[in-house]
Amino acid sequence: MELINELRFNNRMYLTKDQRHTLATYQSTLQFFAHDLCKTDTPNDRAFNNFNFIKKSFVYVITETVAEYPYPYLTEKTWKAINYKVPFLMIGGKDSLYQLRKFGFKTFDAWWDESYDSLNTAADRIDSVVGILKDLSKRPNQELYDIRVAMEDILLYNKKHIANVFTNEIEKLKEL
Amino acid sequence: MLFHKAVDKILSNKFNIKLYIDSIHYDYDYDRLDNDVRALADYEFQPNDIIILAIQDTCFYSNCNYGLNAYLHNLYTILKKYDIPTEFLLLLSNHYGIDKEIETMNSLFMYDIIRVHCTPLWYDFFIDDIDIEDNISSIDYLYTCVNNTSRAHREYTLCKIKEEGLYDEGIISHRWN
Repeated sequence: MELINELRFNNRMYLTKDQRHTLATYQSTLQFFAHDLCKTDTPNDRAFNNFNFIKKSFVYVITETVAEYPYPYLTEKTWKAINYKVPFLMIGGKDSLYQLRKFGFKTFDAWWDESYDSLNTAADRIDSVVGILKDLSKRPNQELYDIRVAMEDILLYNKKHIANVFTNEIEKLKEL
Repeated sequence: MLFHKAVDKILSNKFNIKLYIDSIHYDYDYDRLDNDVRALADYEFQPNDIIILAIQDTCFYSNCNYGLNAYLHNLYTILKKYDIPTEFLLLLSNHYGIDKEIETMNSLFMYDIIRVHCTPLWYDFFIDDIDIEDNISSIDYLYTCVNNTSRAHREYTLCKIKEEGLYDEGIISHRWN
């Protein structure tokens, strides 16, 4: 077998014509942006160890390391959302939420449609997630606040469960 | 607790690690990978020896005509080239589903990596030093979406958010131009 010369970070997200148009229209308008609440000066994720600003928003949109993969690829970005007790929408590999539920975590299908998790392409999953955001944006702040309060049990459960999951993982590694 | 140190300790106590091949540390430098694997070509492996293959690549299945991970293809190619015995390979990954790829690769290369374990724990991650407010007092923004490295799906996400007129409703960061 010969080595494959790979193209890294390519844009093959299986975009439809409309999706390519969206990218072409807005891509050039994305400029470096560091929100006052969210300094990004430090070149690694430790910059976000103080994540209090996250509590000022209703939902956390996780943009995982990869999204094109046909299966989940979970990193610290996901664990942070759980650890910080915030509801989240997942932009990651197909079936990421399914994998989290397999770990025993609870997700948020009581409040929005999570069928996006099983859509086949990253771009379709992203469209669906942004559609959920669009729907949420039409609701009054008080309603969003009430939903967040109603989610507290799940958020707390997940926060406690993450320690169990990681402890179990340690035990599995010992058995290798 | 920094989990990857706990994992390192477990693996170091359990095995004699001859080589640690992390896809990120090698940064797709196949000459270096070839060189390091070649150093073990004539080595007589002992029962407790292990080569750890850590797969956390982000190469997006590119340019690979059977739809699989190009890094994995190249890793197999090099390991087989030097006839590294597969019983001394342990593949760790946070790709939940990589086992399907491994099955295909094993068949394609006729080289069976059978010790495959998916775990979220073997890279740096803090869990218990979080200082964060417990309760929300108000909702000031619809969402938070923080990004560091530029990636196609992140760019498309922000484009879609802009298209839907939601860009100013969230806390967004990104570090690319």
